[in-house]
Amino acid sequence: MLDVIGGQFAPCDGHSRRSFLRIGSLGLAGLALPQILQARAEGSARKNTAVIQVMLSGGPSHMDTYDLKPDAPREFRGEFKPIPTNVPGISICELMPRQAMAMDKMSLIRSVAHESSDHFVGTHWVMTGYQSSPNEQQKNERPSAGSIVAKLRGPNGPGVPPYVSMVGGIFGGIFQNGAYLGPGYNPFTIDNDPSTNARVRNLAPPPSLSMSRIEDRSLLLAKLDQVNRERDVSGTMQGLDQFTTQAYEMVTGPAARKALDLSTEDPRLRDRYGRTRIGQSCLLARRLVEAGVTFVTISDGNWDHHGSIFQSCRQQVPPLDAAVATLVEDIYDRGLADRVLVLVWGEFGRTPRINNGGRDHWPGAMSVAVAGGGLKMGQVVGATNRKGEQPAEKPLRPEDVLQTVYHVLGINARHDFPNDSGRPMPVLNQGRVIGELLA
Amino acid sequence: MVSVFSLALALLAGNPAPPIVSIEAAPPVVTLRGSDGAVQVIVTGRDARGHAVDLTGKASYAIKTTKIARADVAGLVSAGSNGRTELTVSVNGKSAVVPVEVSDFENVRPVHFASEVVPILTRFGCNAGGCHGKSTGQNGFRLSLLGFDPKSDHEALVREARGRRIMPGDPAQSLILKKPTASIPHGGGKRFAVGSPEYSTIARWIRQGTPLASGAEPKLISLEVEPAKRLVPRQSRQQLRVIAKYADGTSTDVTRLAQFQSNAADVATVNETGLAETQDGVGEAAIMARFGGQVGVARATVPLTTEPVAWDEPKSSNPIDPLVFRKLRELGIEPSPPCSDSEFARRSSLDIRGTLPSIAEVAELERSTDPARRDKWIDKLIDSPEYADLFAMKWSAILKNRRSLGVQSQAGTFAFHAWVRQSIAENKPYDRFVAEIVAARGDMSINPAVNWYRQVNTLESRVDDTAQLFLGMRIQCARCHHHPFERWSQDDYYGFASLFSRIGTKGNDVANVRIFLLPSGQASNPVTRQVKAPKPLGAPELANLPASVDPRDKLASWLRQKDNPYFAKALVNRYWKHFFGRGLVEPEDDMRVTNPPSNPELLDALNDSFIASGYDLKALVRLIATSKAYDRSSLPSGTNAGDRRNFARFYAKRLPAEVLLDAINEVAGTSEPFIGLPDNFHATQLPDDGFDSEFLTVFGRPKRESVCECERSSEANLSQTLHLLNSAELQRKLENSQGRAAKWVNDARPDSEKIDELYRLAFGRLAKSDERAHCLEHIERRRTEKRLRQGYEDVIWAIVNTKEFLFNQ
Repeated sequence: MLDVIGGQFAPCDGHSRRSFLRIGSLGLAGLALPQILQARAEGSARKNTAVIQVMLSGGPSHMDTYDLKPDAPREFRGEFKPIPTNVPGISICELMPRQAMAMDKMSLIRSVAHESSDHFVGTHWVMTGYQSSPNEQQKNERPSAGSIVAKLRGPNGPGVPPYVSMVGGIFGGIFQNGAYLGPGYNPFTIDNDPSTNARVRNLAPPPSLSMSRIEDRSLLLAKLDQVNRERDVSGTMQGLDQFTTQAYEMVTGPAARKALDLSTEDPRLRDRYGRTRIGQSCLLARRLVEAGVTFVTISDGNWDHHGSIFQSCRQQVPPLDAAVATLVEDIYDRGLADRVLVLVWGEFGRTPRINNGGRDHWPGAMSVAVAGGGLKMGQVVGATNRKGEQPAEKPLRPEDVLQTVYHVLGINARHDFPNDSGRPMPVLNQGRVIGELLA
Repeated sequence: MVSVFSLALALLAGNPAPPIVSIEAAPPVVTLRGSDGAVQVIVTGRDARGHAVDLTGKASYAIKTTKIARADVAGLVSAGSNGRTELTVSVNGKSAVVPVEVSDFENVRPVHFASEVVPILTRFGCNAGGCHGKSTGQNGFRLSLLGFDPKSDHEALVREARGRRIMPGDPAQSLILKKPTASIPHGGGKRFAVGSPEYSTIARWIRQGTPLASGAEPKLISLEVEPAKRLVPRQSRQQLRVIAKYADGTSTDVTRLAQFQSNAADVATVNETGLAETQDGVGEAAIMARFGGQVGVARATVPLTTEPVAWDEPKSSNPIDPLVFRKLRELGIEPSPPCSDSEFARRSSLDIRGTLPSIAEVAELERSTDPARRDKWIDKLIDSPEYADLFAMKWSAILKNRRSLGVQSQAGTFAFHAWVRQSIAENKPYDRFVAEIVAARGDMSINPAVNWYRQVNTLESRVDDTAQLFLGMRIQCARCHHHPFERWSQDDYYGFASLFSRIGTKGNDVANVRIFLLPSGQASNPVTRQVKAPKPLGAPELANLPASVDPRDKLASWLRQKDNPYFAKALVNRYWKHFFGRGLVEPEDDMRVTNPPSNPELLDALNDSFIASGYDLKALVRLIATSKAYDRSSLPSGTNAGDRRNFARFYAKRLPAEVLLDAINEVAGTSEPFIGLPDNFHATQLPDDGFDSEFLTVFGRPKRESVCECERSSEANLSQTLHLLNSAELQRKLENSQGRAAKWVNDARPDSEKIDELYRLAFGRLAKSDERAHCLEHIERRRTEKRLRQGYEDVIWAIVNTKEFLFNQ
């Protein structure tokens, strides 16, 4: 089941030969609902875990956030100074004092790299674990991690969707869909700014519909919807009955509405997150996973700093710092650290050498911040070389990060789904759990 | 489900297996050559009716001279020394004697890499797509997928990694033996044991100096799996044996070297020794055996009961019916009775026109006493303009008529859709329709079919789409490696590709494109780098085509040859699925030896009839829709509740996104406002994908990026339910001031008549008295609350949310 870098060894695919044969034949036929439920049951070793992914679209500079190089030549090192953190030996950018004080609850991975300096290819890579095919760079070719989670895990609690996406900024929200898993595994999107108002499409009833009318209608429907379910051999009718129950819970039940209502939060905590889009998005994400959402992606755009990078960072990093640091602290304060994993990354790093006051696309090195998830915190995994150009220790890839995410979620990343031509496509075909993060 | 199961148990209990009157063993003579030969014996008993029963696992096996040969409990005979002896097989008080001959025992035969070592790598999953067989290999060790390229596998084992994988001086130290036995850490875990037969074969091959081939080995030409076809009861076992046939006329038992796979795990599973176990499911299972780049298939027909079940076959002159009903008889299940006229009207109208039948149409069909009324109704549907709308929508999706190049490409996509629709409306023969697409040339503004080449614009996508769309074949696997379940090699792929390698393109790709013939150009196999002459699949090469001849014209004429084994079959299977929700081959565009049809005789009959009609699509639709198979009720009847693939009843299916949206508008009394299109435009009439609709997206409208109809998602999901329950979009329709609810407020008819109107329209039938009472009670309550219009809205809302509405049954 586990494929770990360093230490532990077990079968590649996690299946006995016999089950391989059975699954192989299912792969040809496609998975029906009962098999999905079976796969869910098998995969849920850690039932109630959840992930909050902060996607910094555009590609933030590793050298100006989590991986400063004060000893690099002037044309590389940039304007910011490193500051110590509450973990001896770890320092980060001076624009991140809040995370510096929460570093014992975080781990930094500094040696992730891949090979594409294209926004689309890179984003597809980190969102799905696969580089997109040549000539298909703008196509959501593979299911996003959130879609895989929605399919294999479903929501942790009743009355909420499994996968929510908060969309913002240029390139925000791309490659978050279900691809060949079907549109049912696209995220439920929140496309307005949670610092002013949060709404999930079709969750809040249209204004002319009162709750009592919705309930009244559903009673009428129950009386009229009496067709013999045996007419449908595919089981879809029964599946729809289940969805109807769930949808009612979401619309009329308190869980989703309560989770979306930030006004019940302590205003002091809201201030700590920051009354910014990213700040309130992180707070909302925490409320959603508490309510039972399994995977939340927050897209924060505008990290594509080709020019005026230091000025832009002075504006954008502090709100991010407040949001991420508070999210991490909040998760620990509420005892969620074992079941909620926070993941902060972009589609690539930025060129170590400064060019015209900015930095360009650089997939040769990027930093990833993680917190919680029952993983080992307070450490740095891997390192880049002196000028921040490439991994010098423990080279890792986006697939390794996602493999670790799936590990936290109890998902077998060798499970495969048929694509439109019936070819079995594994959740990931590369990547191993990052052993250093296992507690 | 429970009731069916207990019924089956009762049947079994009531009819104990009839006594065996004779037994026979196969093969008639066991011939073992060399020290490691092994032959699987199969023991078959027959009852008084002549029905065959597998007794291999129940029989006992005794060898007269055990020094010469041994037999295990599963019937596998292996060599001990040279000589002749006898095997006595005994079961149920009967016995059979099989001569055994062992020769060449002392002769340590060279191990043949391709036919002995590679199959081990396949059987144990080493070269599977999830491990070393994937294109990037696993941890630096890469094998060809499923062992189709023994030469490169030999290279990888013997030469790569500085030769560490093989230690000729001390075979046991070779990585190829230490890793799979987990003697040292292996990411894939332990695959076989030290000292196992597989271990010994590989060790012997290393000791012999890791030969690739002596060049003298005969070529493997085919695999046969025995018994090739058999009726097997549920919950029982059947041992299979696999025989490899070589070009020199010899054959060898390779049962223990082959890899097995079943295509229907609910009907039968198979283990690594070739022992098939039938399950609860009823129908056909194909068990595939794979060995040395060849595949062979055994078919098991698994009936609900082997006892004859009495039922009267519906009278029919339609050639489909005897074939469907014969299959049902063979499987011991009975068909459901015919559906009602109103069910038939709704079902066929949705399938042929994509619309709900009008109230008047249903009433007329019900009133008629003409025995041919359903046939006449089908004729009416086929001749309607909506038939062309619906099938143009179906074809436009898989022909990828997509505004991918932005609004500027709209002229082309609109023209292509109009061309497809016109072809369908005028009932252009299918062979001509396809020929005009695959051989399209000239200016797009004059010949709209050229649009297909604008959208399908790479060599590979042209090859893959042509094969999948028009031949029902997924050949794209063979782009990078030998097709894992088929005979197609990379040479076949690139030979087929050469049919498309002389397409010249002029124009800016957006507003207009011109396709013309290049004087030369051929595709080459990327592995061997050999240039391949154009060659249709499984047909002779078209060598030395003159510069003036377009290979695509040759392709078109090959497609429409009457003996083309794929072209017409692919279409009739696709259309069968359109009506029955399931292809005779499923998925409908993945037809291959290893995925056989559930009813081969029926597929052949449809194929022949379609060709004989001159590829007449309307005639095919009429043939299918007027069959007694198509008018069965969807309610299970008698013993057919478990049937999923033999069409004992109609399988209810969800309405496609566009059809559902149109139906909701019909019932709500509204129309869909598509930007830039006139009012009352139907979703099924949309020319391309460029019309945003949250409804259509949520309900699985295909994005037209794939040639596969499976891109149209029929899976239910929570977003759809939320949309129907709670969206502003649906609520706006219900509240529309021109809508049905608004009009009813000023409609003097009694509410019960309005309810009947609604039921007729939505379901084809009238409301049952309790249903009418529930609706009236709800409306009455709202009336007293002075919210009558909301009451109507609620009833309409409830109707479109029922499963009866969302499904075609």
